[in-house]
Amino acid sequence: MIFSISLTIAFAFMALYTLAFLNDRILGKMLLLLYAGAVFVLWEPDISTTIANLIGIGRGVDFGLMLVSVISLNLIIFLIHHVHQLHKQITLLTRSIAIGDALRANRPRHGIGDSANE
Amino acid sequence: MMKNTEPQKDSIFVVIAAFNEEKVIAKTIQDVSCFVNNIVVVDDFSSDQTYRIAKDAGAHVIRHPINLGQGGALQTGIEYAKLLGADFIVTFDADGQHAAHEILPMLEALQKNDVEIVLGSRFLGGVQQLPKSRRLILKLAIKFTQWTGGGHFTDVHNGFRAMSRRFVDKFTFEQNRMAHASEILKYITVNNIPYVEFPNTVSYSEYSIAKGQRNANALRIIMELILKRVSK
Repeated sequence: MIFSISLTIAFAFMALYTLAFLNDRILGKMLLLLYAGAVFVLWEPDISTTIANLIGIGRGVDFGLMLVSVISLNLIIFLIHHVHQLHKQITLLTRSIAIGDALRANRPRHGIGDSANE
Repeated sequence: MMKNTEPQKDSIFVVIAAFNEEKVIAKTIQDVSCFVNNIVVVDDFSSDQTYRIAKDAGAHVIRHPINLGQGGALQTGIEYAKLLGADFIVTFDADGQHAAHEILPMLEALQKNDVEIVLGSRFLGGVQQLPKSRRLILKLAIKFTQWTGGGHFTDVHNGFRAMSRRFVDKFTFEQNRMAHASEILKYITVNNIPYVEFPNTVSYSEYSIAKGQRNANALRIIMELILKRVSK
């Protein structure tokens, strides 16, 4: 029950997020339908077995699918971590360039021979 | 414990993150400069004349070579201000919705209450022309912050803050975009940082509503916070 509720909340959030920020409206609506279908199957699990039977997939495939799901989720987490690290590095580089430029721009300029005239 | 030391004007830096704010940035700088000498504008890769106008208005202007977002721009401004010897840093919105005359009273509150940060709160002060949908989103954000352990605050996405040097030496905005506002509250709560909330006035104009956050950005902020946790 807790698992179903958590997944429903996750799917609802992802559906809203997709709809709000995906530029391609048709793809957004298709994904929305997909999430709605996922929520339906979540609460009516028998329907997934009926569909599986219709297309000839046995229960043995379930374990494989679960395994693939877990591996995919892990890959996504690794990717998020990697992208986050890249963002961090880009941010630091950007900041360093911006501050360096600003400090150089505000530094008093000395012409050639200024020190000799002092 | 109450202190009566007033902050030295030259050690106060107001940091303003600006992205395509050519219409209002000069007025904002002018308003702030009535109270503070040092204004740092971080032009977050604007495509308009923000950089030139801010420079002409007399601010220190830093320009990002790419767009980072408000949190990233504020952190750049804070680091620049620290390099110039800031003892007190105030973050202030570029779009003119904050009242510049509240900067010094906020800094006084920082000193008198012996806290490290003062957070502006529009719901303790006054809020003018706030659209109903925005009010609802902000109230939900307050609840969301409480539920996710971010602390009990009366306003959670207010860009008007006064910070001590002690605070900015410890804290860094890592969230480049809008989630930085939640990030700082979480940091304050988790690390038991002494703070006070200060009633401030936020005036919404047609410009600031159009320029400000879309309500749907609340979802984006939640996503940014989740991704931050995932990528830790």
